[in-house]
Amino acid sequence: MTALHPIRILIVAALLALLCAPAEARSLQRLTTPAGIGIWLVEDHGIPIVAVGFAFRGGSVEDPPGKEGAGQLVSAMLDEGAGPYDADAFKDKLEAIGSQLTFSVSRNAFSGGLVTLTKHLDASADLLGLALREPRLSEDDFERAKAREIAALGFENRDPERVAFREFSAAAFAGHPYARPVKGTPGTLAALTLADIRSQRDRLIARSQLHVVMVGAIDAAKASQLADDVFAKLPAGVARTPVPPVALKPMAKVVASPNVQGLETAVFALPMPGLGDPQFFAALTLNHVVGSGNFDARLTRELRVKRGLTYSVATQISADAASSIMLGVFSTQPGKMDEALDALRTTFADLQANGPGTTELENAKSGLNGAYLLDLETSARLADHLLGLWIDGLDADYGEVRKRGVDAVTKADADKAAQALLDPTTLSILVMRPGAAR
Amino acid sequence: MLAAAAALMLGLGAGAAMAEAEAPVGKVTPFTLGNGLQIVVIEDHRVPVVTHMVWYKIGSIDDPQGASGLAHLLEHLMFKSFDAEAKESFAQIMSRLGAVDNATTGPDSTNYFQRVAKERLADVMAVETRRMSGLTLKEDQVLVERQVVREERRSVFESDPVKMLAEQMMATLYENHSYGRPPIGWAHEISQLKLDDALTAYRNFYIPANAVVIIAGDVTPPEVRLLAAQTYGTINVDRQPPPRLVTAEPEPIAARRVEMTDGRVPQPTLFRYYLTPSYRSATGLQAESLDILTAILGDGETSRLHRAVVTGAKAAVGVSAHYFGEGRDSGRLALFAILPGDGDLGAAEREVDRVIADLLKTGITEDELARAKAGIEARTIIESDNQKRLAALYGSALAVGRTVDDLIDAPNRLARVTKADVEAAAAAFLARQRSVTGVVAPPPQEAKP
Repeated sequence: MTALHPIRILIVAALLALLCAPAEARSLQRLTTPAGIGIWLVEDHGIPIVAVGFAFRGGSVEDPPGKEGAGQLVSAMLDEGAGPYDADAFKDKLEAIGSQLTFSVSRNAFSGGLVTLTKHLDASADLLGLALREPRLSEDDFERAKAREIAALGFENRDPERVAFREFSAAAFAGHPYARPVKGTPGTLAALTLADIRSQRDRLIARSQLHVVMVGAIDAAKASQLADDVFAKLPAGVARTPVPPVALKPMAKVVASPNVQGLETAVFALPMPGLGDPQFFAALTLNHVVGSGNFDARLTRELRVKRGLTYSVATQISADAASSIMLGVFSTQPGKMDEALDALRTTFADLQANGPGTTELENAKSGLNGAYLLDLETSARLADHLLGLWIDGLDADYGEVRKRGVDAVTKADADKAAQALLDPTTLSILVMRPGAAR
Repeated sequence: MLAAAAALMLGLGAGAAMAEAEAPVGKVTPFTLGNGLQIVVIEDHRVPVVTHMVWYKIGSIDDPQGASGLAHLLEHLMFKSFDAEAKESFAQIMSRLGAVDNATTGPDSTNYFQRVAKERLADVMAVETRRMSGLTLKEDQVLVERQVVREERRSVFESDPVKMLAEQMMATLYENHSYGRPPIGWAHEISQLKLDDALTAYRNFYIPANAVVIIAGDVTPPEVRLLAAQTYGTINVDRQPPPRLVTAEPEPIAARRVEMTDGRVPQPTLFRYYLTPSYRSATGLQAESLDILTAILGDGETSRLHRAVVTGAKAAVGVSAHYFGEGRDSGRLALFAILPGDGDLGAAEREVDRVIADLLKTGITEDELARAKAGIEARTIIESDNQKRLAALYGSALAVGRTVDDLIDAPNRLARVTKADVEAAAAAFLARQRSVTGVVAPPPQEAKP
């Protein structure tokens, strides 16, 4: 019922290290199909299921200005009937075999996932291919999907931290595509037309932007044939304009929201070195020291264990090609926010001045490397993870690179990085309080 | 699946082909130590990782009257120093081991888990052995932790009107059983919880004879037997836990209603709970029948509720149904509908009731039965991909007194369910007087300019 230290953060950078013994493992295969589609395949016959993940680079950042949520609505429409099947018949086919097909959009990718029993792989892949190539996109289904997405957006607002993250992005990244809401707003969704969705689908579903991952009871020949059947006939699409880099500036902002009652939520962030920066792994290690969410993390100790100010405080490095920040969140009761923010700043100031303790640093490194694999609990999550690496421009062996990078962080490296990065005066903070909507 | 993740560790392309053992996943071996501790090994040799869980048969239903939230507070306190002499805190040990760990408290049981590289299993078992036998606590730790739990209630539960509605509905559904009290505790009682009461609960319930350990992953039963003898087996506590209070619900005679107004919910939302048996308390194939009934009613977009209420009448934008059958003494079948912002709760409720009345009158079809079974079968296989979930399935079931044989037999029991079984379960449990209806909606809008 009640979890101890849930770490719920929106954008998880692709950060993984690997800890298990190589002798036990199967290898990842990189395939290129006859039609030229790239696949990362992890073959494993332990359980008779297959997870197929795929992503087209270019997600909500491709939403035209004023049409935020267009990509989200495309994701909601693809399984609303396709090819010879109307929406009911399509879902009937899928549910009769218990296969799970999902589409989703993030800032930088339009993605999908299929999880199916191996014995239903062909039937499921046929349906996936139809959804991508020949979705019905009928007016009636569109209105229903739109109403559902608007409702879902409102329903998500029950989570104050989610609302606070959105407010934070809007303020901290103002003027950049990352400031725009990934799933749109009730207003932008309501204004979207079926024509918008058709053109957004044409923009997003582009073979030149595709990458495919398969995990499970499937061999290379079958994977290759399946990918060609599903994806080869998609239009090539146009090249993407890279998302411009965005820097985080110090900010102290208070917003009122009707979505919070009886508590206040703070989102805070610091600029971090980019994915390719030599100091990145030191930053990653420091993030673990500061805000892993474990009981020995600095912020948990100071805000929760010592002072009882919050239930959960955690930070994460959110890094991609355009941005790299340490992003954290906590909630506390009204009247305690100033005390909590003081403790937060003092914690950063102390680490900046003194760096982490020797044991603390070593524990953070083993914790960071140890926890990596353990979070990839299912085939589908592994497939998602691999796709995330690809979207971020990293290779499938990034886990190894990351593990070596973290292992190599010395006390001197950590001290130097702390000195440079953990300056409390560079904190960007947004506090959300109960109040009327703006 | 982790096997796959482990693949990445290879430094790709090394191509070490692993000789495939037969059935690498799913062999279940139970045994019991001399001190009464039950242990279950679930083999999963795909990757060198283990999931270790300790389930104690104490939950919020064991909280004394006036001290709701005690079992949950004790769960928090278990992360404090378990040993005055310890050089490392529990958290530091977990970090050093590279473990992912957490704990949860439910109505019937409390569970602690770690996921860790298999070489670290012995360390984890040693630490949990110390926690099972040597917790020491100071008053000031309890005072701070009560505040933390109060913050947890505030930020995780009270911040969400739908969770508050569910809490109210549970309090209404259960007129006699302590399932009606929230596991986290009522706010006014959390701040009154006492160190002594927590320590009493610890002494009474945190003993080998009252616990179940699940170890899932790349281990064999002989390895686990050896480690268990060296760790848990050294706890010489031969007492039994105190008897747990078992209260039964009176036969329900009145449909009940809970209504909330909350500006944080832009969409009117409708819930319905029906009081049912659980897998543990059911007779015959009632629980399996309820699972199938739930799938037919509200699982996916081909379900009866979705087709009638969402696609047909357009009275809601989403519906779903869930059967909560894991409890020791009772279960519930839950229906949920989310409406558009300008939706009419009365109309949506009438549509839901029409679907149920129709099902009660005309029954289900053989095709629906077959589809529901296929769906549940596929989901079961797909979920066995998740080692932690599999371990939790066994742990939560054994903690309420179900058996390993019972779980292994589950697919056979599901296959035996007939159309008549499902219709009988519907007739018995989808009666209005067994239900609580809950609605939450934004306050009536002023006319906008």
